[in-house]
Amino acid sequence: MKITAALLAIAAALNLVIWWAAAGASLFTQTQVMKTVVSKDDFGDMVAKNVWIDRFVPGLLDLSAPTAAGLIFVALVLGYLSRKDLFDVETGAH
Amino acid sequence: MRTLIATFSLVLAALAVPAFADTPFTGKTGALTFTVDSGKSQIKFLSEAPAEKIPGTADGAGGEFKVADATAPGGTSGKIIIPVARMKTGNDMRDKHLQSAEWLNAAANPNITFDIERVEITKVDGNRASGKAHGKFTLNGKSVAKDMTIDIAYAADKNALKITSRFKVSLRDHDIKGKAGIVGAKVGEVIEVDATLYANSK
Repeated sequence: MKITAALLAIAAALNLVIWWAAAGASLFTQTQVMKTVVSKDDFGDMVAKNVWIDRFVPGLLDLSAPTAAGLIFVALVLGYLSRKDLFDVETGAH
Repeated sequence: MRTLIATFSLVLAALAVPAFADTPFTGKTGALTFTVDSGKSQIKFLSEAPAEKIPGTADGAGGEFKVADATAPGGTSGKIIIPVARMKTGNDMRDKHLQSAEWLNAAANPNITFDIERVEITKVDGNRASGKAHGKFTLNGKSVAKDMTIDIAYAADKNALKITSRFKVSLRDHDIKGKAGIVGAKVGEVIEVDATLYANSK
């Protein structure tokens, strides 16, 4: 049971890192992302206006890395607590 | 006699042209007062540091400026006001930090201002002009003299004005220290600003 939980924690940590990388590998979490809208103004010039769109982008330093580190720590603790089971299984295999 | 009148007319015309050639407000005379359109105007800023690049916007720019004489816009004066509370970087936590006492201290200094003292027009092309705006830039409650390069476009039919400017702001000049070790590492020591202001005449 503990080994399963530890493996799930490792898998969750990996998923978190993959999600962070796929979402844009931002250093800090963004709750909105900037989008540039180009249009012609009253003076006949093309102007770029920046607008903010609600979108959650996970950050490395304030979300992904600490959470992944916490999950790995939990996995290590669980692995340590179930070391006897692991040892027994390995002993039985031999 | 006809030749003399024609020559005299040409000389007068030649003398009259420069009076309007130094201004983008073609055909206008007297004073003009413009109010900044807060909805259309936008200030963009960029902080570039080794660890992070932070783009942001400052909406809600307001203010007013007065062109004392449309034929000689050098005497333009006015004030541009940018509310610190409207500055955004896309990260709520960072935006709160930006307004805190360690950074822009929005509670004590709610606005960033530029007091225009005079304008120097260096080039005019029809209803467009470029030059410099000389004035006092105030951020975090500390004012410094600043000369900003400006481009002006005037729409005579709408009596509307567009001013664009790109300039840099040094955090040190305005006593912005930030959290220890952040400026220079995660926040640029100098912030690049790109302003586009639209204004309408009263």
